[in-house]
Amino acid sequence: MSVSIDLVFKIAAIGILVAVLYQLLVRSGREDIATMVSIAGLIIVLIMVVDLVSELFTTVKSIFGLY
Amino acid sequence: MEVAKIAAIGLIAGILAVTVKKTNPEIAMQVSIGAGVIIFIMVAGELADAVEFIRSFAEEYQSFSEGVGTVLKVVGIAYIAEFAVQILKDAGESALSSKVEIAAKVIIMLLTLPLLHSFAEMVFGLL
Repeated sequence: MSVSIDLVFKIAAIGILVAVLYQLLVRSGREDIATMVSIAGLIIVLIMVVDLVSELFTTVKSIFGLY
Repeated sequence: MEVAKIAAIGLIAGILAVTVKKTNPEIAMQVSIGAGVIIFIMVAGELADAVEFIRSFAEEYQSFSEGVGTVLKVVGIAYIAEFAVQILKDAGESALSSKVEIAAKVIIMLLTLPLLHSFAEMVFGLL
């Protein structure tokens, strides 16, 4: 098994971290940087998930003989 | 206990997704995508065995095996489309999800038309 539940924990941890940083930056009056932080978090998570989804699709394709 | 492991993963991922959803719903969506993929990949080996069994079973009946191949392809397409549709619906994009659904239906219809043709040929051959 090449993937594990650790990835889900990692994604949720990034989510919580981004939320905390966003609140912190908004409170200190830096809305522009806060937006950048939340976009950066989203992109990091997206890169992790895209790999996973492509693995899912290749697995389904090889099982059901879709080419 | 594979089932207990999978149920635990589902519950934990659900809790994490709900926790993150309050502050950033876009990452909560990704948590549920990740958990869904991991759960599928955990049972992918068993599913491959079952599909292989069906294939070898169908090989014994010559006129049957072409149809079984098509049915399995349809199941694969339907699974991939359904995965996207459910996640889009969860994220509140039901308009987009129904478009994905329609696209998958069109592709499935195209895949099954040759089967329909051979069926019609068989029926009219009998008449």
